[in-house]
Amino acid sequence: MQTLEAILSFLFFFMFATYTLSQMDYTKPNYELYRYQLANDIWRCLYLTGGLSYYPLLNSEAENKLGQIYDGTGLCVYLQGVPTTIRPNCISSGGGCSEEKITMKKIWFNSFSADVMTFTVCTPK
Amino acid sequence: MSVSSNQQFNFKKAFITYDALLSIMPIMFLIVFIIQVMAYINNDAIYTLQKRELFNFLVAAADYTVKKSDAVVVDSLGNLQPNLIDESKLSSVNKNISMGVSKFKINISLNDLTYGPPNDQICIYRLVVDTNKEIKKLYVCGEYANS
Repeated sequence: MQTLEAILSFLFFFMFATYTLSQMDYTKPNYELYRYQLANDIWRCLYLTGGLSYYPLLNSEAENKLGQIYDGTGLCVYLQGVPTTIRPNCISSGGGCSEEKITMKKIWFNSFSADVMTFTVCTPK
Repeated sequence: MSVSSNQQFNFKKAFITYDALLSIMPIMFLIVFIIQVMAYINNDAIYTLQKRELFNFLVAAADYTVKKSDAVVVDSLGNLQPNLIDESKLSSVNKNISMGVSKFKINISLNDLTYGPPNDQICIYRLVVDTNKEIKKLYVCGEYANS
């Protein structure tokens, strides 16, 4: 009978330990690096398509591209904290970023000088 | 019909046997139940870990494709242009990565921004610009080769 009790106790312990370990964070995918890469992709795409040629003024084509990016990915873009994705979820007063926000500093070279700008990509609240 | 004394039906022994049987049955059910729950938890943990491993591989493969692969356009000075992708070379990149990794089957494709994942596999996407200066999604999908 004691052997049986020991077996049952071990099984319960093993089940509990396995469940606890499987619920820990390190077993789940970590999306932080991927989000950072996506944010950098948006910057590169804007750069490659000439959307930042007139910074700090974005031309309408760049605004269209940011709108398309939002439609395809659900990501809002902010330059220097100013919403540049013209979509209601990104610019409305109740809008703004969720906790999944990536902010990076980017150096922007113009004809005579270099500026550091804050580039933020996030999903809306 | 007469029964010899040593073959007589022993009510006491029979009662003990039935009692033991009725005690053991719920214990056996309990053990079977615990083993089934353990198997479920184990399978769930294995699936989660495999998903993480596959996701990490896809992120690495996508980053390689976008930054260092043969599909990345080279400018006139010989510099790689990350995120600028030549779609015609994607199939060879797909082939090269597939040859190097036997554990996973991957599929890389370029699609419009509004296009969803191309198949039921686990997919991630990166934003790239094609040679026509259009912003597109580079989907990298994959699954375990033995699944």
